[in-house]
Amino acid sequence: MHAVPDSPGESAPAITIDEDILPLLPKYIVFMRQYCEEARAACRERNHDVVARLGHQIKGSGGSYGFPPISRMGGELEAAAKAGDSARVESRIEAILAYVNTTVASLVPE
Amino acid sequence: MTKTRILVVEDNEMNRDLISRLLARKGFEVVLAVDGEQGVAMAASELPDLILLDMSLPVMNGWDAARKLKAQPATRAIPIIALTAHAMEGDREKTIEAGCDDYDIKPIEMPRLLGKINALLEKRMPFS
Repeated sequence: MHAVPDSPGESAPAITIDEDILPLLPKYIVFMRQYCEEARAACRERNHDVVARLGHQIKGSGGSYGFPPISRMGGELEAAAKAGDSARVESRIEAILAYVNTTVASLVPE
Repeated sequence: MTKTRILVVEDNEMNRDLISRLLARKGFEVVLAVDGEQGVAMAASELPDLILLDMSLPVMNGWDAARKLKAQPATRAIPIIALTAHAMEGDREKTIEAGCDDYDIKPIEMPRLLGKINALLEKRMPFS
C-alpha cells in the first residue's frame, strides 16, 4: 500500500493505493489528461452536455483507482456543466489536472 | 489448461481498463462489452464463465441485460455479478430479482470482488 495526501499541501496521508493499481497509473493519467482536454474543448464550444458526460465518467473512475478526490472533483465538474457555469467548469478542470499532475503522477513507478 | 473467461460489461473506459487489467494479472481471460446490448450478444457468442455487469449502462441497462441473459437458455447458467454505484437500500434485492447471482458496489475493491468471483466460480465448477 502507498499512502499519499488527500490533496497537494496536506501533510496527513489520507489515501492508500493498492500495489496492484500502481502499474495502471500511467494509462490512467493519459485518460485523465485526455478527458480534461476534451472537456475544456467542449466548454469552449459551450457544449455542456459533453462536459457533464465527461465529468460523470471522471467521477465514476476516481474511487476505483483509489483517488476519492478525483471522484469528488468529477462530480463537481458534472454539476457545474449541468448548471451551465463555464467558469466553474474551467476551475474544476484545472483542479483535476493539478491533482493528476502532482498526487497521481508522484505515485507512478520509476 | 483453459483460462477462466470473464465478460466485463462496463461503459466507463477507465474502469473497464482497470478491471480488465487487474483480472488479467490474476490469470483470467477477459472479454469486454461497452453496453448492455453488446454484453448480451457477447455473452451468447463467447459463453464466458462469469459476467461482471455494470447496472448503469447505455443502450440497454444492466437490469434488462440481466433479465435477458437469464431468459436465454445458452446464457442462463452463467453467473452474473452486478456492479452498481447505487448503495441504496433494496438495490441488492433488485439485482437478485433481475437474475444476478451476486452484487458488489463501486468503487471497486479488487480483493472483495475477487472473493465474490471465486465463490461463484467455485459453486459452478467445484472441481476446477
